[in-house]
Amino acid sequence: MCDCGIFSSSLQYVTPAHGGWGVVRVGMLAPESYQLFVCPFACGRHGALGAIKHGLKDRISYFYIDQSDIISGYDDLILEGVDELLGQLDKRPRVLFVFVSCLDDLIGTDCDAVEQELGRRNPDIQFRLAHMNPITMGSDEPPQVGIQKRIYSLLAKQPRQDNGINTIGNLVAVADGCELHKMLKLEGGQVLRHISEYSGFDEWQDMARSSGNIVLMPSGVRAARDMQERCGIPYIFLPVSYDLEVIAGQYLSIHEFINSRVCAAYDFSSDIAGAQAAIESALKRIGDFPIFIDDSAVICPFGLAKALNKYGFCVRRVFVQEVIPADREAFEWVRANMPDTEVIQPQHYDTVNFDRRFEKSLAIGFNAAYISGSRHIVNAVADEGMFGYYGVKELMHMMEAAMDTAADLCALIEDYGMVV
Amino acid sequence: MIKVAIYGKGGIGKSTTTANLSASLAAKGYNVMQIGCDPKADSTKNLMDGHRIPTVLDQIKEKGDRLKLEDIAFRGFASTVCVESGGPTPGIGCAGRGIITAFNKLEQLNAYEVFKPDIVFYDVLGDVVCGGFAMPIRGGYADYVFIVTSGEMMSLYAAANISHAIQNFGNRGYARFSGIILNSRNIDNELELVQRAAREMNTDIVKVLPRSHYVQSAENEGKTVIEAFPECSMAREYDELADRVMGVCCHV
Amino acid sequence: MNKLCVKLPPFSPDYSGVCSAIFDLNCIAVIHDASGCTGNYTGYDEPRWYGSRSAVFCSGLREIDAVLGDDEKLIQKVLQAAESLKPDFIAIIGSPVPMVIGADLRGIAADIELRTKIPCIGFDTTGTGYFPDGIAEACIALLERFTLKTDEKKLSGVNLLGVTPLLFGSETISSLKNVLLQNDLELVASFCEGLTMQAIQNAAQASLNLVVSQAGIQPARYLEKKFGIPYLVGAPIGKKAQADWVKSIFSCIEEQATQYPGNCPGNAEILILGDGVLCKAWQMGLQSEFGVASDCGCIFGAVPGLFGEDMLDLDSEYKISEAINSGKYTAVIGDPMFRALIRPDTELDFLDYPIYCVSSKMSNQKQENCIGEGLNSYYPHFTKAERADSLGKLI
Repeated sequence: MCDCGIFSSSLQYVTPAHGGWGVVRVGMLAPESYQLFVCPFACGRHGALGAIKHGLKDRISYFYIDQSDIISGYDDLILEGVDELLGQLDKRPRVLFVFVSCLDDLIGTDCDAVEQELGRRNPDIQFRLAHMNPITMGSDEPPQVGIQKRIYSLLAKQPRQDNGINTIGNLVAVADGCELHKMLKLEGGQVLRHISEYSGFDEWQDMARSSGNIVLMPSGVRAARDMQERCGIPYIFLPVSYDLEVIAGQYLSIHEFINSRVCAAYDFSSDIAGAQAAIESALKRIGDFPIFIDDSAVICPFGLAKALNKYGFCVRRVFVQEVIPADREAFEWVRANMPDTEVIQPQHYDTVNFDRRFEKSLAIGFNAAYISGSRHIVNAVADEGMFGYYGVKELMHMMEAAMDTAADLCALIEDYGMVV
Repeated sequence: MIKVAIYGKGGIGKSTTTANLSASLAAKGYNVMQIGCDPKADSTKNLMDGHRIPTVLDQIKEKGDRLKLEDIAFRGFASTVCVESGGPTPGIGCAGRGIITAFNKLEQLNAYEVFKPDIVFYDVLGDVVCGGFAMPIRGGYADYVFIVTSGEMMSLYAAANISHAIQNFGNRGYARFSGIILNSRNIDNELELVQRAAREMNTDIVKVLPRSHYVQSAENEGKTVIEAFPECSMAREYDELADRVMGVCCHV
Repeated sequence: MNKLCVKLPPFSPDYSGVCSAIFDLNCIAVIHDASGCTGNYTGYDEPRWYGSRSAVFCSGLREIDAVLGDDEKLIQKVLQAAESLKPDFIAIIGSPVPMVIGADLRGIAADIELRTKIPCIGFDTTGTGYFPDGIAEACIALLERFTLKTDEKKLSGVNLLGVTPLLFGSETISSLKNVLLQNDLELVASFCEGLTMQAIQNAAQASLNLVVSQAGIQPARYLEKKFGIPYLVGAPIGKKAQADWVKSIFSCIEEQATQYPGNCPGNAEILILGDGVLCKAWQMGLQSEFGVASDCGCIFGAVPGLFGEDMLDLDSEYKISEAINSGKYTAVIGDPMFRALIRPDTELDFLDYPIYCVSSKMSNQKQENCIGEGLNSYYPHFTKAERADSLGKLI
């Protein structure tokens, strides 16, 4: 298992703790949308079972193609499949995502033409040909980027903007307790919008009235750039951080971004004090107990490792499959300043040996916990709900709470419902 | 059972050559099967009195699991068994994959056990050697590969590609490259050009087929030269080619 | 399964069948895919995955490798892992993309074997077939590759063919094995649950093969052709059926004869949905224990060797739904997911019998053990006319 800082491309081991939302669940964020997968049946299994897990199966169907359809091309079958589906649904959706899978990247279905024809036949429905194609991972439009791009392409340019601000990229809204809400309210009475708060397609168009997008996850940047061009909504990319200094800088950026006209900027001192108190309390409880971090819990694991190190915690391992650009600087810092911290690729084939058990540890992330057999686990996934000083405070509480219990990892994973 | 793949660039005369080869061997009493692996699906036309037979892929599409061997294999001249793999509508789908699916179907239906051919010819389009079009040279299919070429540049280029495909995958138990069939187009220095190319590919010319008006005349009747003009000189050339191919395949 | 599927999840595919079949062996299994196919198997088709140390990997196939046919990249990755993990053999397993580009997985396997000197098998799975195909393909490959010719026959030795966690709960599997033990039969090899390399090597010592699901039929035919071992198709569901099964085992061994279950004539009241061979076993159990006639709804395609009007080929959601709502049946036995297909005006009793290859872990129900007497205690537990929506919630 590589610990040299060089990330190798090897056969990939997939632990039960590996995964995330998957494009199906992300796509379901689009209000009043429905999904039809046109693919070999096998490609649909995880998405369908994941949808059952999350109570979404009544918004997804499949049109199975076989080998002879692949050979002859299935452009026409998509049209037939959509007709047949719409004939069977009780209610016509406002949006229909037609998903194709990896193999479509190789046979070259003319997706634009199909999308146009579908729209011509069904003017009351917006169609988006979407891709569940992990074969493009590493390209400029991997599936997680593509699906967000398509979701937000459904927001039409509005005649007038209001004082709303969107967060996009993040799949779960920033928690109500976060000071970001208070700051925006004070500095211009702005509301913070997130796609998950809308159930109707028309109401959701409110997000196109917002005057700015704050992008919290890298996979949303492309969508934000498109919205800037199409709807004239500027964006700012601020990946969630747990580093007090970085957070201070991020809030300054937001202050400038929203072009606040009020004289008094929001005063963060009590939020900062709260975060600091939480850090002290957690540090007192955890001390130099070994901490493992993985890239399923947070988007920037090296950023977190650096922050925890600065606070005095003992980060012993960071499990990262690859370093994303937003975390590159922190990675370099960790390599230079935390020589005792192991960097491990969770998907490396040697993981299967499970020769790095270390039960007496606190894992931030399911994958680190599974591989190391950690007794204490912070139930955090993909920075969900986190931002700013609130995020720090929350994480510290979770770390402290985790120290007091022995976690049932299997149950945590099942409960979350990971999809690869 | 001897299994031979005949490759060549589109339009170079590989189907004509293969069909005459089949006809010649069938006339000599061999049990011959010819499988066309070209989306054009006209490899066996001249063995079937000029008629096109339904392709495996079309039949799979139409009949699905109810497909029977007699839906895709047909008896032609001198009892040759004729099959066409077929392909998708031009512009969409995947022709290479089509050949694989057709081959799998033939196997599923036990075609080789049922017809028990002495010799099987795969007549393969050699312009593109992707995974599908390379299928006939894989382990388990053809044992010997011949390439039909003229002295023309593009034809020799295609030939070199095919020979690369065979040689690159020596570790995988692929077919053996057994020689070049020169189908003369009467261009300048044709023999020397092809001889030089053969040397570069580390192989020999098995037979030089001269240009002959009988080929076109027979084709106009929807027949092979062997069937239409069995006494003509060109028929003897094909007979000789058949002998040499059998010689190579039986004595290597 | 063809075309439109609105309510049901897709069932387990062929590549999962291959992985599942070789799960217990010290091997490296590589699914040649981008990630989702491996995710299907590890996430939803392998109940034993959590806590296991089976070396099933994803090759991490990327578009450019597929377009250029860069097989060498895959080969290098396999060589590296093989060097470190030292497996007894290596399996290279196909998925939809290799199917489309026509990757020669057998050729690649031959190449890897030449370089590593470790046996390597390529599987042309495509994601367009069901898991029984994959299990059958894997079993035949293992038998071809590792089973030794022998003159040493074990008179009371049997192999199980088609045992898989994708169909059988763990209790069901242990009671199946117990039935053999209690009758002084020796289990030579169990394809494919609790399989060992040693057992594969010895498989030809068995005097009879017991085919307990449709995945076992092709391997049984192979073993009959290659080693002259006959087989018995069926499973002991119900008390009397168990006694009959044991009797048949001994008579098949004695006469060295292959035996398929016969037809069960009668006006069917019950529809059983699932694997063809298992449906047949249920049907015979219900007939002999309760005198009820039933039809077998084969959801993974028709079963070679099993014919008759009571064998329905229900290979699509539409056909399954038509059968359930035909008005012919008073009750249905099957995975709880099938409840979603009951129309509001259809009155039916439903007996939940969850199978992993349909609902995976989403049924939230344990599969009851119906081997032998198990059926007798479970069968009365039909629930009355309850319907579920497509989320599995009762309505």
